[in-house]
Amino acid sequence: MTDRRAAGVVLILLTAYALNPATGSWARSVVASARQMYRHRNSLRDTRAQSLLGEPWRLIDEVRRSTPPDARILIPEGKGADPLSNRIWCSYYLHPRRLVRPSEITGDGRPVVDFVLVYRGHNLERLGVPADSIAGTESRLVDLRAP
Amino acid sequence: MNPGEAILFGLGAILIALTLLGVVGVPLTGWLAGSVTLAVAGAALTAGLRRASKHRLPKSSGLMASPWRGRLTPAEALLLLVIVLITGVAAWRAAFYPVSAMDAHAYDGRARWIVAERTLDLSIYNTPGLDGRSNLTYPPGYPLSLALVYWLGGTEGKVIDLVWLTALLLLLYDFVARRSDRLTGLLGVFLLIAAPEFWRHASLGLTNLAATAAIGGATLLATGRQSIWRPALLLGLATLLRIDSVVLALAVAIFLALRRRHARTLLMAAPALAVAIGWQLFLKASLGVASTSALRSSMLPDLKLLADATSAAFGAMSRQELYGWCFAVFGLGLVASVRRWRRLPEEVRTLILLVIIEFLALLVLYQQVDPAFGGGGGSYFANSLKRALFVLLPAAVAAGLLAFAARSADDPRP
Repeated sequence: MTDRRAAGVVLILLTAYALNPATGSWARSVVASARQMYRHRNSLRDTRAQSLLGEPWRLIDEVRRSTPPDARILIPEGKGADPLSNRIWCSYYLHPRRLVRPSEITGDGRPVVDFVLVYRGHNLERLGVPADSIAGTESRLVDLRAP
Repeated sequence: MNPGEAILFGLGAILIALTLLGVVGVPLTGWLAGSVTLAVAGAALTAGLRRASKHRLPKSSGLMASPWRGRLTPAEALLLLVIVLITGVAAWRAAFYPVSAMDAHAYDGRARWIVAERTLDLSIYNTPGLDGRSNLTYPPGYPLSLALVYWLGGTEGKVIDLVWLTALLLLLYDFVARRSDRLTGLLGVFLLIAAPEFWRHASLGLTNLAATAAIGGATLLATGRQSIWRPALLLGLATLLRIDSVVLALAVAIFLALRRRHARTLLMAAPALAVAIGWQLFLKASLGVASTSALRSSMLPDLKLLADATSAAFGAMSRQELYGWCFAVFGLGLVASVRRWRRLPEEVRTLILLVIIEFLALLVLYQQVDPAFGGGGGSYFANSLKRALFVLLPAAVAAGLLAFAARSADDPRP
């Protein structure tokens, strides 16, 4: 194959890759990703995390700022509570705080927790809110130490 | 040894040295990691690059003497430019964004713990319910490679994925180009880096990409008859990255020993077995758990998973949003070579068969993994098998392209 013909074949291949629905959508996402990073090139690491992780990051950030390192925190559990239901994920940001799942609390209420992380309605029942009034969108940190 | 292989062996040697030092209780500090890195990587890179530049092959081998020299043609330059741009954006993403993938927090978190606590001892993690199924209890190869970045002053450990990726791309290029031409070698590299989900993994901080470099490299090297130890060491490295690689190591060693009627080839699985057994003993001693707890008791074969996985990887509508055109090229190469199977070079035939053997080994393995941990039968897309198949991509691309290259060499046009 001549050099010119080889270059033509490569151009056709790249064009076909870009026009193919699956690979083309990826190719556009590569360009979009580069543009996005360039636009936010001066932003702080926390801002980048917020743009990637959204609401879970806002809550984790609030927990980090509002709780002491020895705090015991009830994290949510069950369907729809990802990623805050993942203890490893939470530990990554909240170490050395002690993270407790609702299923680990026994009948006598142990281990006792200092904070409850409410996420999309999960854990509201732990605060005495009746199940039928649980708002599926509510997310906040509740301090149980306050009188 | 080509530059990609030199990087893989260099990085592998650093990780093995740090693992051994950590297991015997030597505090893992930045100074220690820096010294090991300088000593091992420096020696490996120098030796590898010197050999690559001086390497001369006899003409009778049928391999190109060096695909690293000479002026680029316009087609090669265009393809190389696209490859560099795609890889560059992946590198930028890895350095720009913090860890976001769910499982990646286990590896990056562990890397940060290792750097802070200077030990591989898992009992310090104070994570209730930590057992052999958790990715915190995987062998320490990948977290140590992330920790290397922190020890050397980096802020995002996952940029190490670019080292794994670069090594793999160089190795793939060298392997394909030597057996065909430089443009085909670059085409192979493009097809691999342009596999959408594989490219995304270059900035996620997960084990799949590093394991793909080690297993992909081992598979390519295992096709030749030069030495069983080079692929064996890479399979050992792969097991240090992901414990399930030991199954692939066994499958490759047994298959090649049978194919070559050469019992010594079974030793190819020895380093992987040594790593797997050694790590299980360490887990038992430090935590009292074993990785086998991730397996379920049922051993019934699931034909639906087999059908779904085969269709997703090799079917006419293969999942291009996951694997790009890699498996499609393999499938077309396979179809093109069926009628002239015996006229294909032995290496290409072995490579094609290895892809199939590894695919089946992964299928059997992931069927035995507990569904709660991404395994089991049923839905292919809920199964971690879809990402585990990444390890086949380099060999699949090389096999497909070389099958075509052999065909065009057989059938020269006037």
